[in-house]
Amino acid sequence: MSGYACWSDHDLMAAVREGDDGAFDELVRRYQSPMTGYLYRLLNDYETALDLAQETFVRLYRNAHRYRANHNFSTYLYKIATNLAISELRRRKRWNMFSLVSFFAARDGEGDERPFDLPDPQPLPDAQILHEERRRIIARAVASLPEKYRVAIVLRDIQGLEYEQIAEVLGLPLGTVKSRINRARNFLREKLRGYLSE
Amino acid sequence: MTCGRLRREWEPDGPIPSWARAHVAECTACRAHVEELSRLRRALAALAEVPVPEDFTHRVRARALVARPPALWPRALAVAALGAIAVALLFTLERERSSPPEGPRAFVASPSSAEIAPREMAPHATSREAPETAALGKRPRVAPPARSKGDQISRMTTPASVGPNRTSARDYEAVLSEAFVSREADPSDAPLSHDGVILLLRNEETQEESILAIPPVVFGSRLLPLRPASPTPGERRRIL
Repeated sequence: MSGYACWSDHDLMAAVREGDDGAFDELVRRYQSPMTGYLYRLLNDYETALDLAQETFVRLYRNAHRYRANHNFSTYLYKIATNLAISELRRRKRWNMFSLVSFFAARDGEGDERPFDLPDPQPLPDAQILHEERRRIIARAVASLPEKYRVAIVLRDIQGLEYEQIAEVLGLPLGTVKSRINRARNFLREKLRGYLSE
Repeated sequence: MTCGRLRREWEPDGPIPSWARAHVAECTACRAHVEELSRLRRALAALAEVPVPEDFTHRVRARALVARPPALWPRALAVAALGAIAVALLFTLERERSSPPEGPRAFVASPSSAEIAPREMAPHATSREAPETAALGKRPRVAPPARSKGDQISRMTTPASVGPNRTSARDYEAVLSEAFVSREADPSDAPLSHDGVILLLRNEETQEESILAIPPVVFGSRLLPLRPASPTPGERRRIL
């Protein structure tokens, strides 16, 4: 298993194409956290994010024979995940759906981070409480962004993709991507002014 | 303008360009802008960590293995379904073509032996009259024949002409001839001329008779080829 650690993504994909399931497992291990995080920030629903992250890898596996090593592997993977997320967001908009987990969490004042709160019997230090609270508020502000700005800023400032990669993932001109990210940042800066002071 | 250029070109995670350093040191607004965006960037980067279940890889593997065969299944199913439809269609057409043309079947009963005696599988033209003639115990109003085919048709039907209230042969003629006339008028109407049933209804107390024409609206009724305008003697016997 650990023999795959030094393989490049392209080499792993070539092995997957040949039917090497160990190589596929290595790709999943490398990208499971970024994909789940990316989809979670877009959808604000942990269960759906997990489901779509798995679906992203399933599609990668099923279409391994079509993969060409012309582009960055992560760009290819983010493109699949983005398409799934956008379809899900449109489906929700059409049916006016919302997450029951988020709904009840919000009613309880827990925010949308609740699925990640592990029970801790020890009282939290004040600094940690503040840190968690701030994190929750920032996540909520990101979730409140319009879809096109949210996708762009999550890819750039949370996932750390380059502008060119984002342009490729979204199929947009570079200038449009930069403009959207700028607008998203300004929106968040205004909204979070009181929380970014320290 | 340095403020505008800085806001356009500076990336929050990158260093301040050399041309802007002196300006940022002097300009309070630009300094606040740089500090806020840097903090925002750090705060957003902290959101990247999201826990993933330990069995994530196994779940993906399980889904991927299950998902692989369906890539072929839909096509195979579609081909099989199309094949089945084509075979069924050919079989039906072949059967229709090979089956000999049949005349309308007749259900004949003696007028005196039953209260409700099915008389004839008649063509459709009487269907419009069904509501008018359906009432029991009321003498039906029947349209007069449009053409003089009465001689032929009266021989095909059983007259019930005993008594003043009995349905006369002319009544049958009227109903049936209209149907036959409409067939003869336009042979291309074949799809419209369906089977139907004409019933002779007799009230035992009042001895009044009615003709009930049931249009061929029953689900599953079958289209039959047109009967020749002049039935053969053998056919007449069969009908009677």
